[in-house]
Amino acid sequence: MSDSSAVELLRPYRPETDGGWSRREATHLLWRTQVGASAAEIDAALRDGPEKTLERQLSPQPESAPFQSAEALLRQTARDTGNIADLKAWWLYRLLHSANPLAEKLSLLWHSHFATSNAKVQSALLMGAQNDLIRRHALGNFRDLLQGMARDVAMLIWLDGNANRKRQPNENFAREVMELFSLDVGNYTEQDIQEAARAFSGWQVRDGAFWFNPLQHDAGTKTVLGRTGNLNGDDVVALCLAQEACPRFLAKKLLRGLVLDDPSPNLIAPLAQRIRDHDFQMTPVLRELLSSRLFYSPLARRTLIKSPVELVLGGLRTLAGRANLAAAIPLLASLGQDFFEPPTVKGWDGGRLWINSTSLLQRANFAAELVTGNRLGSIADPEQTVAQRGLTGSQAIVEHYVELLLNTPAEPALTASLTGALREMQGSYGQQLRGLVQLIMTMPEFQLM
Amino acid sequence: MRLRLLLAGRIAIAGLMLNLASESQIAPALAQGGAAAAEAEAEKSSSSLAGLFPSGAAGYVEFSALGELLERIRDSSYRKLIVESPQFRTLEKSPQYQQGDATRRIVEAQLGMDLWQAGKELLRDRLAIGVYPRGEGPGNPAGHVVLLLRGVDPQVLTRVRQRAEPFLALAQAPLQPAEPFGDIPVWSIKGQAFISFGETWVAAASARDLLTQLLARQSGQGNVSGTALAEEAEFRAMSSQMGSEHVGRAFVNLSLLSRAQGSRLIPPKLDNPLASMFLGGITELAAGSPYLGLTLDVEQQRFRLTSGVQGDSRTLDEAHRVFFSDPAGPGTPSLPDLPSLIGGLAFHLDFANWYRQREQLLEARVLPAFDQFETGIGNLLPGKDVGEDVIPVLGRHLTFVAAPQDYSHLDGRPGMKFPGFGLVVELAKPEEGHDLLQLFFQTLSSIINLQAAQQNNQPWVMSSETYQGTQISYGRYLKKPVGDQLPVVYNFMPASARVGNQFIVTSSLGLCRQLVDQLQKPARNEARPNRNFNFEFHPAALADLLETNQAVFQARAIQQGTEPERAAEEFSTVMRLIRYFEAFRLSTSVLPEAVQVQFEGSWK
Repeated sequence: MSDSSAVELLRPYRPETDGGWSRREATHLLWRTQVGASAAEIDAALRDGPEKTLERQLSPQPESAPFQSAEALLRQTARDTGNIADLKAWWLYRLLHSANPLAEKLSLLWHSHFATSNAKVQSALLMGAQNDLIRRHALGNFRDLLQGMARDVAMLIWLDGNANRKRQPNENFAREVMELFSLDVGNYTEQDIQEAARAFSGWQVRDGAFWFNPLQHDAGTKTVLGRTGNLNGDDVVALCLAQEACPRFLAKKLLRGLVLDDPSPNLIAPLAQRIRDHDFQMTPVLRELLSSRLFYSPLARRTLIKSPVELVLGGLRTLAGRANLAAAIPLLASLGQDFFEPPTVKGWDGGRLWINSTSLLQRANFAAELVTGNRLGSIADPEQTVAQRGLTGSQAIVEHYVELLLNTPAEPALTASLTGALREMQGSYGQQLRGLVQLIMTMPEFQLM
Repeated sequence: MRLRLLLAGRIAIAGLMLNLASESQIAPALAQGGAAAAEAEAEKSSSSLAGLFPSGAAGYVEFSALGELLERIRDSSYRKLIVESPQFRTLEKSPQYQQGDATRRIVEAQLGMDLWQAGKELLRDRLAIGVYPRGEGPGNPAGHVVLLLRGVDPQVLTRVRQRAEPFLALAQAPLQPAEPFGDIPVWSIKGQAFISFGETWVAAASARDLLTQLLARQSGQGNVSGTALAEEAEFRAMSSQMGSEHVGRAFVNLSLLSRAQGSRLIPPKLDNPLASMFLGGITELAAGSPYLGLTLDVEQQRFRLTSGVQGDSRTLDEAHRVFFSDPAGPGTPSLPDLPSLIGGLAFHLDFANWYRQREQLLEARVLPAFDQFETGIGNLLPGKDVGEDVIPVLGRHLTFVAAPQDYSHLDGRPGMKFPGFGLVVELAKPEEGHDLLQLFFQTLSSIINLQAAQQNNQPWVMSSETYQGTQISYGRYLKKPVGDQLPVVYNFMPASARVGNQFIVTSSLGLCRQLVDQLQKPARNEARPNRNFNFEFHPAALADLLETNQAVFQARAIQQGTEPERAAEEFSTVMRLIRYFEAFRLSTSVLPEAVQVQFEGSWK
């Protein structure tokens, strides 16, 4: 792909000339900006069009009173019990029920970016506070997020802030700020890390809060990323943000998280420039990215592998089910996505690594359990769904569920095959319909979004 | 007339029933053992159906005026509370419930009355069921069943019978005429069951000779062979110990079962140390008891379930005597009278001798756990041997209480509130025991402090104060945690003290002070009923505590997929169901010739 075609792909998608606005486009937009999408949500997006739908996801929406009360109860419980599982349940509830699903989805992306684990922090309270910080800036300015993260108590515990002392600098935080949070490998030197560590010395935790310890701060002259002076932590963060590598690194993250799995450098560069142009403000960047021709192009359609949370919560949301979040937590962990406990400082690599021989089997088992059991919750009664949507005949039913679950038009061969399977299924009508849903959810195509 | 006598009998028994709030009313109920002769006479003259049943029953159960009880249950506000609860509404939607409900409606339509009414009419006097061995010697001790229902309204009995017969025919089990007993007709169902109806009674048995014996006594006709169950030595022993007039009573002939099995019914050694501590004595007595009895009494706002076995605990071997207090003595102390007591447990056990003789009391396979326990405890008490130095300092009584926690150690409250706990250990060697337990307490505190440091929680320092002349040691946070939603760990701040030969460990200074007050009261040494074990539970106090944690319970329901409003409604219903009850008590009493286990409850 040439640079000019890449730039062209970032231009806005015009439904009237570029490919239309059907259930497929509406579902694609919803799947990428929230976890799953119910038929009713797709109906609404189809009716409202791409601009209004995207704007609803990008701009703050008022939360309903029942959501606010339930969310507050769940959060209070996590605080009261100090149990990280309760905090996980709180976040899953937000992901599933918040009126601002994109903020939640981006919080998840930044949680992986600033991967911090409760395994070391040992405090649901501090992990919750970090999560609040992430959510506050998820659609805001990345500059504020990075600066806030440098003072975040959970992060300072995670990367040994208290061990970073004037005469014995600890490089953990300085290294991750450059390597994982802003620049990526190859865009700094070991000398930069050592000097940056000195700039962050004295950034500590005292009585559960950030504390600048002047006695342990190295106030000497340092040289970081080409600039020399009595630099402190804020200076280092600002220097990182000023590097060309920083918006490039973020552009790659956003593309991989929301658009396509392996973006080429000439797709990254124009987006990086837009990030720089918008001075790290995420909302305008995302508005351009998620309304681009690239976003609706075949390069981006059904090319991302669903993460466990997109599979599990997405499945429940798509089938308008009642979710047992307490049961979903261990399932997500066994599928490889344990919130607040990422596997390494690099977070979750995602992509193809979500699937291996074990997790593929678990994903199929999840489908079976969701559709036929009640441990993970329950899905809306397929018999009622069929009646409410006025679906008559096997073919109409198959087409509805293929479109809803796979976001693809049902090819004649696939429709014939699934219709035949539906007819041969044993049990009551309701059981047959559930069997059909399970069958579609175990297809390889269901793993994509 | 008979009903009036019955009611009078129940009122007399009700007078004996325990009042959970008053110890003085409890004692007479437990002093039934001395009135054996009177009870035997009462058994003969009572309208109990045991006098009509043949002897040799392995088990027997009898209910009196159960219909009246069913009517009270039907009309009770508690039942209404359950039926109107959201949980019940969910149950009503389940296929299993709907199937059962459909069956109920069919039966009710056929009977021409609802099942509550049918129960009330059929069970208004007495119902008894006996099980008898099939043949002599080893075999099924419950091979035959005999049933007698008496005192039924003649019209109701006729109607039920007429309407039940088509069902039997439908089930391919029609009633066939069999050889009558005198002028009393008898029917047979496939020769496997025999049934006879009077104007106001129904008798049935799975063996014809058992029905014949029953009918002979019931009608006074024909030759009565053998003795009646009521005259059997084992049954008489139970009646004399436990009384004969109750809403329900059950009898198990342990001698017969033991003979049928050809060995002891209960092994001499248990395989669970905790079960041994609480049940080791009763199981040993039961193994030698001729009977196991069970009675149920229900008053307007109370019930009592009593189980009893015969035997003199003083005649047991040395190892098994460790479980019992002296029948002539005061038994375990009463639970301390703490404000808003949630519950508590006090029990008697000669700890030193139980521990020393564990090889005689427990299966060999569980003994290695004791060695592990000794090694673990030994690490906290260096230089001491658990068996020789630690356990012998303990006395014979241990009391555990749960009450609202005191948060004077905080500037605020924990977000999730736990109950406070207190443990009172009687010391056989007060000075030595106090030092040892204090050492254990301090060592444990240090370990907890280290863990607190690892988890970024506030450390505490040991302090002491003199309260009512008693020195209390307690933990104090270096800096009082502040806030109304503090972490769970801040619920507890340990304290300990000694009052005479009683060592106190509590989860807060305030609770420790309350226990010191209670233990210093001379009233504790007043006469009280002999109890070997006493567990009390006050649901309203628990409900108060649960309500302070309402958010957590609702959040748990939401986590499991319940809608927020529904979660609040369900919690509120559970609280109302809990608050309906006033108190429960499970206790054991050691009498000179028996041991009784009682479960009592009262409601509003």
